[in-house]
Amino acid sequence: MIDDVRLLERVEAGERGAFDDLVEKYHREIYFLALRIVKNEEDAEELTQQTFVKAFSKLDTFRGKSSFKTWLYQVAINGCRSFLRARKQVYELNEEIATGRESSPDPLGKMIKGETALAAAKMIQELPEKQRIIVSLRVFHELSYADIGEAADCSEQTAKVNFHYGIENLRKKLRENGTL
Amino acid sequence: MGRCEKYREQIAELALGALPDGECAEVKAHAAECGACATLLEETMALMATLKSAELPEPRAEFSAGLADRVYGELKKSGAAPGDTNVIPMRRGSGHLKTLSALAAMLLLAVGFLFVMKGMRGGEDPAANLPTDRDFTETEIADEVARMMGSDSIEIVLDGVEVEATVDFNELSLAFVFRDADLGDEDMEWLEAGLAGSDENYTDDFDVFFDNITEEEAREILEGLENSGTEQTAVPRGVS
Repeated sequence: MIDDVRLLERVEAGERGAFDDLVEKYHREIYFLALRIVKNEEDAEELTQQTFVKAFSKLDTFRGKSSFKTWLYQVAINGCRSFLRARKQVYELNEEIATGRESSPDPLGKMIKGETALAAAKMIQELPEKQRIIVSLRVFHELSYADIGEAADCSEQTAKVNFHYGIENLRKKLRENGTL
Repeated sequence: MGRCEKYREQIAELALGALPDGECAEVKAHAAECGACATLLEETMALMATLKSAELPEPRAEFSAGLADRVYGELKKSGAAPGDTNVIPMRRGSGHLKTLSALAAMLLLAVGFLFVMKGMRGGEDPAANLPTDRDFTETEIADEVARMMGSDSIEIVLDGVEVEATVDFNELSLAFVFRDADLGDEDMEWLEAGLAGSDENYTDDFDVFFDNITEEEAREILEGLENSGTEQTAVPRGVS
């Protein structure tokens, strides 16, 4: 498989095929990451697209300090966080306008099959945002703590600590509901 | 208990399949002698298996199929597609703007450019030219920046001269787009002086784009930026 550095060189030279290859290579991972953070398929698709638009339009700011994949994750996480902040503001506004409206539905429940898997997925969603992102990056995307630090904009040690708190929280929740 | 603490982190790594073989054996040997750690290991293995079983649905085929085209289309529209010949990176800054107040100051600077340019063009006091419906004060600019925390760009239009300041709060970077700017010699000099003067206060790294201005104008400004000693990236975009 051609490495990302070569592909990026070809992209910068204007080679459309290399651009397509990079999008094809990473779009599933970025989509899954976005879906885990924003919990909605439509939003995850939009954020995936915007991640690539933003990344390629700012390619000159990629300094090769981390891998392209880690940098792409960083762009995606930042985009998802901005999206969540904006959505929170809109949601709070809607709540003010229509007090008593039913709270947000459970989109994840429609996506995941199997009782235990669903319970686990819901518990991840209940984790604090940072722990949720870091646990997802470690468990599902298999990033090292150093890469998680880069992608989630924190130190390697913070990534490690948050991961272990997250796992401890999940273990506690699963124990409480009798799954373990 | 001290010994057990040592193994807690490793147990999670072992359950993830990310622990080197030698350390795996050590953790397992400890768990064989320690009931608490054996339970922890068993629970963590079960937790990881459960988590891994929570597979998410694949992206829709039609989304995946057209994604590269859509991304490329968006980039092309904004003149930022890879390999576009009208995008000329001039110089890359070494640092980043550090604080929100610096961003506010930069935004103020952008608006200040326009005020002064308008003033110079008309030979009047810039303040006298402020549109009554967009009478920006320093506080308003700061408020505007605070408001922008939820978005990443703002467009300011003053009598047909349009500046779009794009602020990326995540990367603490800032880009200005000057559009349809009918700039004269004096404007150029002022712009250059303004950027040079801003350097020691808060300018560290920002991008400048120009839309719909002549190549000559763009070149003059870029040369001015190069000579100003600032550390910004200057990119002519959509230059006629």
